Amino acid sequence: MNSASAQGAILGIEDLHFSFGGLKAVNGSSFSIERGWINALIGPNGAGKTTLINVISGALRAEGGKVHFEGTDITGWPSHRVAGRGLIRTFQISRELGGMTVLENMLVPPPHQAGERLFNAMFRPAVGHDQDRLLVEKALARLDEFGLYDSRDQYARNLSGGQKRLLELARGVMADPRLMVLDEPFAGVNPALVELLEGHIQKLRDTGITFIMVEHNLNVVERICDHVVVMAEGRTLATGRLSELRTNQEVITAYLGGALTQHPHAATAVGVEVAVKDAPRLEPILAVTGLTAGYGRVPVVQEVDFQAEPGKVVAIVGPNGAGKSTMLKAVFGLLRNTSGSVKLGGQDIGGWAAFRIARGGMAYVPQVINVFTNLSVHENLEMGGYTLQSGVQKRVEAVLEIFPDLKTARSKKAGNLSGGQRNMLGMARALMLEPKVVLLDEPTAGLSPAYTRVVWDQIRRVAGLGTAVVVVEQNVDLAVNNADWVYVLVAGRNRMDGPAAVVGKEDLPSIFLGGEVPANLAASVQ
Amino acid sequence: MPPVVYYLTTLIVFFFVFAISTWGLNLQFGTAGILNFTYITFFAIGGYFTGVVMLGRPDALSNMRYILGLDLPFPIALLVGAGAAGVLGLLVGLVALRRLRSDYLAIVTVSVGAIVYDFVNINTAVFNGADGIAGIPYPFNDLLGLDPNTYTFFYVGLTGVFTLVLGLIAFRIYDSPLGRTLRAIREDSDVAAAFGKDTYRFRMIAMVVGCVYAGIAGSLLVGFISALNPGGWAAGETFLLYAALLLGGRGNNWGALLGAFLVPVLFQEATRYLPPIPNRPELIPAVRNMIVGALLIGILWFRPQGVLPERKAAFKDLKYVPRRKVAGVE
Repeated sequence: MNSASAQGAILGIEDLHFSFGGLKAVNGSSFSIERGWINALIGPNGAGKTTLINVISGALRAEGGKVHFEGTDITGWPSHRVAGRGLIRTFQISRELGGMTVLENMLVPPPHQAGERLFNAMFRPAVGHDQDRLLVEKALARLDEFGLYDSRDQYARNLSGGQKRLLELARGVMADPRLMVLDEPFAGVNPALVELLEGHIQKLRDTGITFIMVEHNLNVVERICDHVVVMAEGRTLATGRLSELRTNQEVITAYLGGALTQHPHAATAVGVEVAVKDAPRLEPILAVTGLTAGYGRVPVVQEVDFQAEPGKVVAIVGPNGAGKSTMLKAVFGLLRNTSGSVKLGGQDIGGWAAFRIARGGMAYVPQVINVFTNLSVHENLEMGGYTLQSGVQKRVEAVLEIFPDLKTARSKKAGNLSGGQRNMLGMARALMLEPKVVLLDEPTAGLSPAYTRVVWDQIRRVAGLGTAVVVVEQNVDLAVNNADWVYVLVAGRNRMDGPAAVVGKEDLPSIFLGGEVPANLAASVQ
Repeated sequence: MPPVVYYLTTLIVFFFVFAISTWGLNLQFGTAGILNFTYITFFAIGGYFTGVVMLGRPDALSNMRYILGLDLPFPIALLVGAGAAGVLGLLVGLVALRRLRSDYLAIVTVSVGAIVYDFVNINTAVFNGADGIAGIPYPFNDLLGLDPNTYTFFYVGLTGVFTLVLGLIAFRIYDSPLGRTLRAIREDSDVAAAFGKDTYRFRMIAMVVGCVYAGIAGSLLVGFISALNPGGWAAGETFLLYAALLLGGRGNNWGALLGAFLVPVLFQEATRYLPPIPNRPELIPAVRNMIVGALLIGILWFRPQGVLPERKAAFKDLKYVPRRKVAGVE
């Protein structure tokens, strides 16, 4: 490994350590980053990538080792000091300042604002206003470049998911960073937007900003990254260009094969899927017709129809802002002001509160915050069986049989699980009440390819038990390859649906990448 | 002077005092998101210190015990009162703001409030215990020599000047980059820190300035009513101010002003002079407290943003021309 003093290195990591309780998340990682490159930080789930960038950016304090930034030892510095030096990080989940406008979000990051001093704020307001005038011009130009100009006076919380990702990047640049650390900037982003974000990152690189980004999508890495750092089990496994690393056996084993051998069931997924793909539609257990729902007065989904049958997997796909997650929330009774009919086993459950729907036999697993982090895996499952009169322990064992991965981690705190394992636990907990229908919101978002396969294998196993499964999936290929029936949602409406094999033959790229996508993004602003 | 005029001028002074308090609370809670549940304690500290700086040495004649007793003029007493409130705010901030999350911070403020209250209430050597201090001279009246009625008009003017100046400063802070950063910390302090903002230092600024506002308000009130005892600043008074801010609109200084008028003045003080119900003198205050509590719940349930909600920041005289519009000209 190069040391921090290497020529041209902007960041040097030496033998870094950090653990959560007994879990050694970062365990002796070392590497250095050259100035002016886009660097990818990749590795299987649980490799410690997010923890590493939390330690680098000062959100967590290193337990051992050193972090050098531009020759200065910044180990143990608090976040604000690290940021003040020009090392800016973004977050895996968009962290917009919701109660402030988009433009104001852009005005927070610039360093050294004279108007932030109390004396100036109280007695010399012109100082702040004069500086603001320059910052506002700069911010508006940047918003324009990022296609957010028209949303400048919106509250940031009202942006669509994709727009929030754009804001996250644009806002970070306002801090005048020399190194930007991006935690999965493409998580949950549709292909058209991925391309847009890639272009922005490349342009920013050309202006002299160095990037480190945690990324799972190797196509993205291939396209835009100059250099790759591979992590596994808290260590740096290899560094180099992706083309070199692809043939590196160690990397292949850790990143793909290693994960596969840990999860022997993954291989069976393909067989299951072929057998059921062309089966005709059965009597639906969940039937949704004419569903219209949203958060304010503007509906996000309009007149949507879909159905799910026992033992089948239904996938819902569509570009960002299509209303996929909103639709699930509406079906599960989490939104007010919904109209249309939702029938569960023939019974109209429209207007029911979520807890009543849960008791009625439907389960919902949100995309994030889907486990109780302070409870163990076992306790999480017990919580899932809270309404059972008896036989909770028996049910826990039965569910753990379906999820071998969780069985070995049953006494671990859920907060110490990797992102993929958490999603599995969310799903497992949902099964505690033996639901007839399970709604999963992007269970594979942000997971490595190998673990994504494991999760889909589990989804198929769950369906194999006779449950109807509804999955919102960002990755169309996965949906088409694994589900029985696929619904395509665009701009809050049904675009098409059919057996997965049939939908897969349609011209999906034109739906996702066509000229209408940016228009849809603009339209989805409330 | 007719009683109604005296009554109205008194209410105006109260309005000014409460407006200053609510602005300070809006800086702490509405802007920076600091849940200070013992805001009234800082108000009381300001009042007490102003009182004991203006009073002369305690003697057998006055039958009071208190510290200081410096017999100094009001401007100095006001500075000492405001400073004492600020220093106490700083101390609480040192304990509570560095590490603690907002909910724990709220618990710390409640604890500090209880400690200070009991200390002042029981320890008669500091501010004369439960009986409190009284007989504080009217500010500047040794020079003016006005009769009590005319003096009330003078005091309306004096507090009015303070209200104007402190109001102007409150609006300026809110609209400044400092206010923007405080709101960013309120929305998500991790994000603010990730952009290089020293969230501890910024929250401390809001804490101390807010407490100084409370101290000045307490000081002005003591100058007017000439007395202060622990009964006047029980924990419930803080919630009266929260009710005012939430009803008016947190994060909006006009809302704070409106709330200060509606809750503590119009509702609380105006009903204080209702004729007591025969044989049940405790009924009116009790019902009044219940109504304030119900009001607080009602606001949070039906209109959490208040009558005048926080407004979007507006930037005037923008010269920027978006690229698309430029392209459209072609």
